Amino acid sequence: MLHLALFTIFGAVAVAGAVNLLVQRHPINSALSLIAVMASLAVEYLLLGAEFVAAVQVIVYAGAIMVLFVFVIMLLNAGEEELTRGSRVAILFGVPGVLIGAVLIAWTLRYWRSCNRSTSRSS
Amino acid sequence: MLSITTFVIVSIIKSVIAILLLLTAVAYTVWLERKVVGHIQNRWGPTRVGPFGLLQPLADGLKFILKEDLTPPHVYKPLYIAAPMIAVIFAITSISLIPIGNSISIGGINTPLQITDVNIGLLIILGITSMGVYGVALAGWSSNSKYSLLGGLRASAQMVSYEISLGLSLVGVLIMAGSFSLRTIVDAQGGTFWGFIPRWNVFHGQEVAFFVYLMSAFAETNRVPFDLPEYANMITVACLATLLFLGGWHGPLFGPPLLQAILPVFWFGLKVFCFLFLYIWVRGTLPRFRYDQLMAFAWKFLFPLAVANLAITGLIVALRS
Repeated sequence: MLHLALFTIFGAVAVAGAVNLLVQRHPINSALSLIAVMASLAVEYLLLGAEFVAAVQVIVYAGAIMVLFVFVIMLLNAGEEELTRGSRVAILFGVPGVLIGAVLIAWTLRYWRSCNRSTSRSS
Repeated sequence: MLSITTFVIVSIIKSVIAILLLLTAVAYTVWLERKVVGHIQNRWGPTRVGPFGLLQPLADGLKFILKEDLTPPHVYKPLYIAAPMIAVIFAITSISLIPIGNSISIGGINTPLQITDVNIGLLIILGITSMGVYGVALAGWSSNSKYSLLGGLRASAQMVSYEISLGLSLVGVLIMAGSFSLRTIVDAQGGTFWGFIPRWNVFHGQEVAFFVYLMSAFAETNRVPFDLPEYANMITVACLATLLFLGGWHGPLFGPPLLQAILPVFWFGLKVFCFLFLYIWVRGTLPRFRYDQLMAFAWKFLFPLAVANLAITGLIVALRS
């Protein structure tokens, strides 16, 4: 029960961090939300019982690679980005892509659930 | 197995005790440093508040609380406020994995003398330490001044560089113990050679690793621009040195059962104290490095030395098995 609650909370934090990464206009905020995503992924690994992967995720991604990201952003003194009105390519390919992805996920979930039901019936 | 309620209660009690211990230790390490450096420089150090200036940390704390909280204009406010918090949080978190003695049992509840015994404890401590770099880097950047930016970059580059040799110097110990768990590492160091030399890792083929660790630990913590995490990091580093190289809580046991129960914790505290004293002693004695010499020392001397030590230790352990 506690596991499930923690897993859901940190999954939500990871998704929120990923969305925040895209929405933020300042690069350093984006980098920091990427760190938050990495850290909550590490917690998910920990909850799944993969302690070593969790520790390595923190040391390598959050501790080493993201430090370099932050360094580069600081040294280049990157300022706030201007929001554009969106590119045509993104609308042409992005919207159908998201739709296809959603359909695939829904289909997989349904298939997985029916498989589960049949196995539980046979057992 | 403990039930979940007792587990939660025991954990909370242990966490509160650990935080209180750590903060007191931090306050009195500041006092010790001022006292020792004072005596090295032929001064008295703090003497006014309490006997031997022992209440000085309390007075300092009061002063910090009553001070005006000044925020310069043009800083990037969210990070300017968050950066010191990040540094303090990561400095304090790592103490939760440090064992200070064997397990004790009170009223039928048997619990180890540490907040949690994770079987990859050392890796998690390394991870937490590597996150501490952000506090320094972000503080330098968010002040919106090129001097503090350069200072923050230098300090974090120094921490990142010395972390490599620090981590590599620990791998030799891990090979000897065959585990990441701090408890197992300490247990592997029990007993003596020929009855009088303790089987600590520092006398057991890891002299070079201890030297590399010592040097990296000096660089890793000494010139961090915040005071509080600096001292908390100092204590963490001293605890790690004690656990990994100086045999943890192992020491001569004698006397009645009650004394025998307290002695391991006493030996642990004594070793940590000696390490902290050495730390302050070196700080009061040696001059500073120039920054480029500092980086050259890390990359051209300590790093190859740590790799060589790792290779030789691995070879010896492989040949012996």
